[in-house]
Amino acid sequence: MTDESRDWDGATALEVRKVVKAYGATMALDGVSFSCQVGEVHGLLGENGAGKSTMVKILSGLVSPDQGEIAILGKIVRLRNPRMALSAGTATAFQETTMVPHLTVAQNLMLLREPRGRFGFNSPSLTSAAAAEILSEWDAGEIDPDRPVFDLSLSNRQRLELIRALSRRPAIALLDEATAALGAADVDWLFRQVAKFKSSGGTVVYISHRMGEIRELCERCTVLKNGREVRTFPTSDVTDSEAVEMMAGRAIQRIYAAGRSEPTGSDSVLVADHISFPPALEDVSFELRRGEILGMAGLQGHGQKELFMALFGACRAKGSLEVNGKPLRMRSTHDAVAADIGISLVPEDRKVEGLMVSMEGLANLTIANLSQFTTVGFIRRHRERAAATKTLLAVNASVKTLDQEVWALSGGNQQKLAIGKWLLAGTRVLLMFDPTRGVDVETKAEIFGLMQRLAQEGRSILFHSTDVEEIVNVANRALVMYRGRIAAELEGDGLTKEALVGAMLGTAQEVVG
Amino acid sequence: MSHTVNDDAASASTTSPVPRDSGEGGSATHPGVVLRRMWGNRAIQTVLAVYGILILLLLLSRFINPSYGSIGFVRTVVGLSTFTAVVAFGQGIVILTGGFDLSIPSTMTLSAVLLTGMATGSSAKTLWVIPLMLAVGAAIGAFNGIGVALLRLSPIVMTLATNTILGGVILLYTNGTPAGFTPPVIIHLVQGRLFGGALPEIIVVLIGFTVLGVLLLNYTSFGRRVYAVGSNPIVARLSGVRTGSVLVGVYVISGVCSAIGGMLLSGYSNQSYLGLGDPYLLLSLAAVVVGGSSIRGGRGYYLGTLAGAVILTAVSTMLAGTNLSQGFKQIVYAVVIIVAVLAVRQRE
Amino acid sequence: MIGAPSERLRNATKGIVGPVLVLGVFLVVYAIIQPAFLSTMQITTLFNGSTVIALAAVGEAIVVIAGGFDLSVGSSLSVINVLLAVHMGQSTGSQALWIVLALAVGVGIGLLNGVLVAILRIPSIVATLATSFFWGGVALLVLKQPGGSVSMTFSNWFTGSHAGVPNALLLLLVVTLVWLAVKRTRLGISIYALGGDEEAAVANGVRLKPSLIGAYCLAGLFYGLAGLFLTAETSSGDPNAGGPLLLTVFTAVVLGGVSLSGGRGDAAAAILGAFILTIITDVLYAMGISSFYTSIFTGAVLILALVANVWGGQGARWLRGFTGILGGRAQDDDGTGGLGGPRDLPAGGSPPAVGVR
Repeated sequence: MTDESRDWDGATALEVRKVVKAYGATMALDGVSFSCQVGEVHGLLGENGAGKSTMVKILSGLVSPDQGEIAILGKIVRLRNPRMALSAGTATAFQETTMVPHLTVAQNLMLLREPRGRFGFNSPSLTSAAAAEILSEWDAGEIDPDRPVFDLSLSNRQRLELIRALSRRPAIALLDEATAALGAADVDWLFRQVAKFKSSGGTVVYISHRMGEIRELCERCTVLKNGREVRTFPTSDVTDSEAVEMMAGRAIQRIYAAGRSEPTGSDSVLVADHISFPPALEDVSFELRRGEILGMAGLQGHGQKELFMALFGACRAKGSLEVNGKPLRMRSTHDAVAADIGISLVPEDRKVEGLMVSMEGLANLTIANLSQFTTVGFIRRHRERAAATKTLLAVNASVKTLDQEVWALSGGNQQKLAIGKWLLAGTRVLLMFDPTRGVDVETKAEIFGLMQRLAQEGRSILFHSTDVEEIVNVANRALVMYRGRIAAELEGDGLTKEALVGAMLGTAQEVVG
Repeated sequence: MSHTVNDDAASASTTSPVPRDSGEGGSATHPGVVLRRMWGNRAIQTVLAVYGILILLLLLSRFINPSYGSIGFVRTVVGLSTFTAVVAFGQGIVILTGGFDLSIPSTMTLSAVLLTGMATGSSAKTLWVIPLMLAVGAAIGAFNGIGVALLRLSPIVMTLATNTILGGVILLYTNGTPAGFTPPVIIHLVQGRLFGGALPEIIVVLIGFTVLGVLLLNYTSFGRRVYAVGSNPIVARLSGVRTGSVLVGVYVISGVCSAIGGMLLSGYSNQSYLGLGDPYLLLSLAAVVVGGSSIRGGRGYYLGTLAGAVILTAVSTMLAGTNLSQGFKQIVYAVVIIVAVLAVRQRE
Repeated sequence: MIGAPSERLRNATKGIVGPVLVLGVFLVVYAIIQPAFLSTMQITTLFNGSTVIALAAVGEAIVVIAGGFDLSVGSSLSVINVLLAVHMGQSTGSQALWIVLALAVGVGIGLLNGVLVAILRIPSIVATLATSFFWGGVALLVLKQPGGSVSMTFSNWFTGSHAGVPNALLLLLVVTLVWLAVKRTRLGISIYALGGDEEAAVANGVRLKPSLIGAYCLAGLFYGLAGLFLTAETSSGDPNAGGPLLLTVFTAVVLGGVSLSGGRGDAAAAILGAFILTIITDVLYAMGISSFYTSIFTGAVLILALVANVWGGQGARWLRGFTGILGGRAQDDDGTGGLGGPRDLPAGGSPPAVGVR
């Protein structure tokens, strides 16, 4: 660890100089440089694959750069592991929370900085008290420090992750997609804490894709694209569409080039009657028409996930379902897939729930419908490959992905495989939960185009998205979920951004979780 | 082989409704490409690495003793490795799903004592005794599988408990002393030779078993589902796979393999005895690991496991022929395992 | 904070309630069947019969809590046993020296395991499988056949009693106190964190290599104690003494309520597990049931204990038929350790959609 102070101006908190990181043949970071001043909240923007997550990993000490330098408060540092990163002055609130589930809130919060009790040993009561103090200092006093973390809601876990990072009082706090699991009120809470942190001299690197938050919090931003930094600029200098263009290099309008579709028939392929799965899902009834793209809007955590799981048979909910006119008794996902015309789910987190990342694309594509190519238990390999190839062409993915292990593919290709799996299985009802999450703009456009084509072929799609733009431009009808019920049904001219947002918010700001 | 993170499709033109050409040319049917496609680069690399170690071992063994690298030696070793190879298939398929089968020793011993006890040296009786043995093995496996799949118990503990219970059952049945002799047909199967002494029958058994095993794992839908459950059981379930049935299935298979292994062993020693299966817990585990399978599941290749079994048997046979004390032999064994594991390890 | 002290009490006693209850039940049954059991001599015998397993199980439990499995516990006991039987002399000096050496050997065994697992990153099952062969071989080199001997004073020191209290009890109490102390150190919390979620722990500054090596060395220390006690009990050496104990030790760990998926449970509770095992055997013997049935019964108890563990903690979830997908990362916290797939690899990051929040 070299200790030079290279003409430090006293005001630069973090300087990243020409950092390079390659994974095999891919340049995740290709000579990125930027800097932040003390007390600044600096935004880091970029699409998936642009290098944001690699940058966070480097600054957290999880990964070492191949070339380049990092200086914190004027000192050049080598962040070989997270422990060194912490002592060098960075603390990270990760996107996927890094809590040890069976340890308590207090134990997680105070991990490795517990107050010393008698004879230098830790003491549960001292740890708990220290945690309680920190929690109330950061406006989260209602969280019980002695509860195990797995008991907490997702949003509280994220709040805890944030508090842990901020309460370490690092020189630089890295907040990676800090609001992904937070409801509106919690987002306000975060802004207040960031302001507090700032005023005590801390610097924040704020990684996000949500322009609204960036505008409110960050004085300056850096946009990354394909491992290079495009521009660093004061936030107020640039409009939203300019920012998106910088990130994606493509104008935003093209995403929705396909326009809305119209249902091909008026009969209902799916009738859901009083589906409930308390506490999140109260009572939902709706119909999905043939050839329709039905959008489901709503803020995070109002029961959408539970509804999708219930419709797919992944959880035992109350209520009844009718598929293609016939009642369906759902006891497992197998029943869903095998039902008359078949129901399938493209889930939220494809790496955890949608794809088997250690297997090749081919295996992932065909796993939902192996019987199609099986005779007497044996798989007819060439038939399987032929069908898979056809499907890949339908989703516009390269045939090379068939033989590559899925973890190595880009997010866009992974999502295409996740969708393709169900196309191959021939299910006519597709439930898609946030299908464009983690997908670059190019692929997003492709996916929407694909959805339109599928609808025109007679498949019926129910898709959920938190992005109102998507719902307005892609769905021909939309339902809004609020507090476990359907708050509104919007169609045709009535389906506008304003109407959606109004229904999503209900009559008051809602605290979720 | 490094995979690029951003592959070609991402840079293609987008919203065209006409499907793109796949770009696959006439090389698509080249045998190398086909093989690589079928089994994947990683599989081939791993399996080749294990066989490389095996061949290296056999070549080096000549320096220890000239008779070691000979055909006769290879023949003997391969034949002897059948016991481990058979049992390691069962262990391997269970490990593929992320579990372990610690009930192998007792299942082997139980089937051996039941065989000698019930068939009492009569080849005719094997007609019904052997199917019974296989059924018992399957039942034990089903017991394990139900505990793991239905009751959601940890595989280690479930099979450990089964092993303990079966130990008691064996004691009860034999009253402490296993009786009877192995039916001649089994002895002949294990110790006999074909083609005027050139080919030990047991190698035929091994080859047959290997073919069945590889077919099951790589060419059946069940095999595919096993890999799916091992790779990500949540996704498998969300894809409509009946993960419970798959789990029960792999334990049943392991039970049957243990039963077969126990029977073969009794053919080797002409009788059954307590503790017959004990060494095979560690042996089956070692063969699977040395063969390149991932201990966490989702990745494994029986051809590799087979090579692992042969490596282990070769090492112990070579050691048996030396003047080294028993202690030294074990130490060498341990070092071999570590070296083999390190050598076969893939960078993830 | 609502009910904070009671919450903390619940946390502190979480791992213990089950095993204590089971032990209590069996003790009562035993006392009813065999009133003579309550005599000093019987109690001492009970302790002497359980302590080897108890000590080894504490060590094994530590490794399990850290997220690993140690298959070398049996061979470790054998090696220490034969070393003592062959080399320990009659003089007090020699005995003192060899007690220390035995502990050192135990720590050394743990060190080797730790290096293989933490530095060479060989999965613990594989590494300890290999070291079990290794130390078994070393044991055979030291002593080919059962033999050797140790002095009576040495044996009595461990297996005797003072004023009705078995020395073994004191030993176990010391061990428990040592463990409780370790639990409250940086090493202790690191062990729990690593076993609970290794990635999360490392991302927050837990030092993987020193902590894992520390866990294995600590376990080795307890194996050393177990080896000492084993030698005191048998008064002789046997290179295969430890082999059959592997499964018994694991049983004791599980009966002690330690989760095999790591990060949970109390190592000292494994002591209770060991005693439960011994008492089962004694109860059956007292009831006149042939010893052949012991194994069957033990296995059944093991399964029942686990089912109770799973169902008790998971009652609500199980009823809802949930697959555990909702809410946070896919963690299995019901003790079924082993159904996880390969870890995810670095690819992809955050959702990029630009839109209304």
